[in-house]
Amino acid sequence: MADQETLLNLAADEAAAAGFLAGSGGRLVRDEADPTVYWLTAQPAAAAHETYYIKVSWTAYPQQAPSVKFADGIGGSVTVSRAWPVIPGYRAASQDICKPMTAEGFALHPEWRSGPEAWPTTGNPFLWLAEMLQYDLDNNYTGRAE
Amino acid sequence: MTIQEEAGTVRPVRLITVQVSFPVSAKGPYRAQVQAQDTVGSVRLASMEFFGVSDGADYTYVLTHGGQDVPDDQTVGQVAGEKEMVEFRLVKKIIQG
Repeated sequence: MADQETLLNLAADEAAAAGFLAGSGGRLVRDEADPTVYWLTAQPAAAAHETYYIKVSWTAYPQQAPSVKFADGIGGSVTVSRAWPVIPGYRAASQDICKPMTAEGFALHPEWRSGPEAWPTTGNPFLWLAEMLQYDLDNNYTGRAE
Repeated sequence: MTIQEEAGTVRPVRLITVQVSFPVSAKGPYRAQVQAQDTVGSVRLASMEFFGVSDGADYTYVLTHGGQDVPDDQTVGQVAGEKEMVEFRLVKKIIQG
């Protein structure tokens, strides 16, 4: 269970992330059972008919990057390859994003934990993550994984 | 504001307000008034200096408008169209993966 500070910090920052996603046709839903888990929906600009569901699981916010997984729906399975978009660094086969913006990425590359690749802890990292995910969907997306 | 041209004629300079947001900065957004013919690249560099970030070996910072990358050589006036203000987002474009 997350500490109270994490929950308060998430509550303070989630509205900006939700507002940003809404501007691109997406939305943000807090998990009913676990308040540290959020479900994001987002569409690539070039394929607005393709909705992606992203499970973002925080542990300590804003200190640590969250786990980020694509799911087959809000509250759905995170083990479905077709739930993932084809984007460089987004790996449907291993179900992780190998970039310095997720817990999975930092676990694979401990060298990213310090220096310019480190997880940002100032400002609103939740919004930053939402912007990074939407940026990749809008600019680096080539289709849905098989 | 005007520009004195070589022939001696004076033409007005079109000024556009730019705002660049970067959510993980402790500062607020970068704001400036620039000339319409100024490039997006010059705004990108000025905002990066304001936010205290720089490009690295495996990433670059780009400005987006409406979700899309805006090339450095595009002018602010081209992005603004008829508007007097343009909002950009500074995004860290990560190359590795």
